[in-house]
Amino acid sequence: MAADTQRLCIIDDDKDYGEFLADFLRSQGFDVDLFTSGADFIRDGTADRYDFFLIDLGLPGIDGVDLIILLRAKSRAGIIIISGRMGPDAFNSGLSAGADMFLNKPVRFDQVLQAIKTVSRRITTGDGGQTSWTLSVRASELKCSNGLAAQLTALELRMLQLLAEAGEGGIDRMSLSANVSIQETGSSRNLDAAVFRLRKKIEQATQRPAPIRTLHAIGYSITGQVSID
Amino acid sequence: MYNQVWMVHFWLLLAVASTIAALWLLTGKRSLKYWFLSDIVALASLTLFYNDPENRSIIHLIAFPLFSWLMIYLRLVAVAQQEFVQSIQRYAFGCAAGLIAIRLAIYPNVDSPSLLAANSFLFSILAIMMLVAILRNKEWGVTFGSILVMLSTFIYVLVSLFRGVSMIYGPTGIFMNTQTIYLSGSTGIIVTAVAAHLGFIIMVFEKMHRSQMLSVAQIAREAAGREQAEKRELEIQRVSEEQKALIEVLTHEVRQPLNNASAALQSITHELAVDKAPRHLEAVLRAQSVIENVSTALSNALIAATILERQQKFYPARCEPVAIAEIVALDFNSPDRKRIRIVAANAPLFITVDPILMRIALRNLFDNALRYGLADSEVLVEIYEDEARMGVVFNISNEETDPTWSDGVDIFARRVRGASPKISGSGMGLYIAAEIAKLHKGSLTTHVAGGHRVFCLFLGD
Repeated sequence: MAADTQRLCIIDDDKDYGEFLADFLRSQGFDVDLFTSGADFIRDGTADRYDFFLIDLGLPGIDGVDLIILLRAKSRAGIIIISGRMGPDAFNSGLSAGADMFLNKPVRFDQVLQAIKTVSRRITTGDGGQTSWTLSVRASELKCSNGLAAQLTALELRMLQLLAEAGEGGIDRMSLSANVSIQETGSSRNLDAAVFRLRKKIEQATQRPAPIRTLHAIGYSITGQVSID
Repeated sequence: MYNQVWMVHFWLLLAVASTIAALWLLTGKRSLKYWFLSDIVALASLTLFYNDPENRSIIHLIAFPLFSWLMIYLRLVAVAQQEFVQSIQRYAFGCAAGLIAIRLAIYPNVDSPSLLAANSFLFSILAIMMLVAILRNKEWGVTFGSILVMLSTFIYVLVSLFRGVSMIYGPTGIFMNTQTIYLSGSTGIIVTAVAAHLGFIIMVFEKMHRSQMLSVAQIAREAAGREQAEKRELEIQRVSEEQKALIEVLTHEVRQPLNNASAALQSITHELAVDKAPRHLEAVLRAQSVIENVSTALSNALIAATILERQQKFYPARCEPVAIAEIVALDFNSPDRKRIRIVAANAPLFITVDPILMRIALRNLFDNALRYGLADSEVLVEIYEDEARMGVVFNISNEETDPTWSDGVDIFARRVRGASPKISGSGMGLYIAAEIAKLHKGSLTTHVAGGHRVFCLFLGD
């Protein structure tokens, strides 16, 4: 099964569910601790001893999202949210805070195990926690914090540079296509095709989701941390 | 004598024309504009009418009836609805042509009584058209003003006809001499013109008053409508709040305990598997399956209820479609889970989706394929990138006894269920999956290939 040395922390105010899950994960070889509130966990002061966190969002006192932000500031451990909340806000806020995956309750224990495996695979291929990127203009490459890099053509480099300079606010389609000399006429999707190919290239080379976000009917923006070197 | 009558007529006409012009400037009404223009033409026509009969040229002979015709025609335009003017335009212009033809025919013998009578008849026809125009104009309606205009027009018709007849029998005939004809004609025209003007001004004021009343009523109606709409909005808001509260209850008070029950059953399952107690294990698995079916139905209902809200707040993220599909496969119990085979390229594949919605869409599609597929048959899930369409495709295929049952059926509509009555379900699963695809600017289609039903979920990147 998963690495039996992995130390896992469950923070869920639903004690019954937490205990059932803890028992199952222990049976799978994990070393598991359970906390029923964020305050208890913080008081314990043992955050750095865990390789993995399974966190509920609706915690009493310190909310799950705040707890993830605190954890992410000093830990590169895997974080999976297991929550009954279904709204788009829940998922978005959880992932923005720095979680690696979101599982919506009801969730089977096998699914938790599968999620741990997926996130572990990411962690073992380089960076734990949130991915950061460096755009090297001199080397014409986009380097991922996991050590892998994607080689870029002049057009791709220019495109990423423009996006990185524009920041999270993004850049509209017309400006982007004009600046990289891509012809956008009528229903042509030349820009979309270029971004699609760029994303694919980055993802295949770095094994990470490309840091480019589509702003529907507006343009594109950078997502996450991208610095220009 | 001519000069005195001319002066009276001229000043009277100038006075009413000025009144009409002032009213037109004040109100900007189209009808007043045409009536004023008609007065201007009438003034010109008047000058020609009182001209010395001995010194009339051919231009005078043609201009006079044309001016007179134009005067009546403009008044007709002033009081008629546009459609009516269009419909009688042909006849009105016919009259004008007739008038010119008569004048040319009698020249230089300007006193041909029969032709002059025909001239008067043509004017009568125009005046009758004006009468009909007022009667047909729904905007004016039958009011004191319109009755006055119609009456004066009617008198004008009578005067015209009288003049026509008297011209035949006048100077040499049994009725009157030329001067009497002129005097009677002029007096008739002056009286009817004054009455018509008075009636027209009253008509305009009556119409304005009616419009004002209507606009007051309209404002009152709009205010009432707004009030009603506000009430309706409040009611919708209240229902929406209740719906949200119900959703909250379903989410926290129902799904949470179901989740715990499922967790407890999973622990029991695990222990029973360790203890090798197959009979109990089967019963527990069945119980767990029931709980999960309830949970799925609940999730679908929640998504259906919040789908509009989700359209407003949609935060997709870059996710691994294969990882989501693998997790969805684990939503099912072991026997069904084993029937699902996921095939995907080794290269990492990412797509921008809302993973919660994606899990629900795939779960519904897998569930549908498992339920409607032949017992123990495989459900094949192929995930690949479609470069041409720039997105990711999930092909979910199963083997069905008769996959053609859905021919001509919109199986993605709400509450449309498969052919077999033995298979339970609410008919919402495929609808939810299709709606989720639409939310992602994608599509969900189905076709039959080699005896297999294939659901094709495309998500654009």
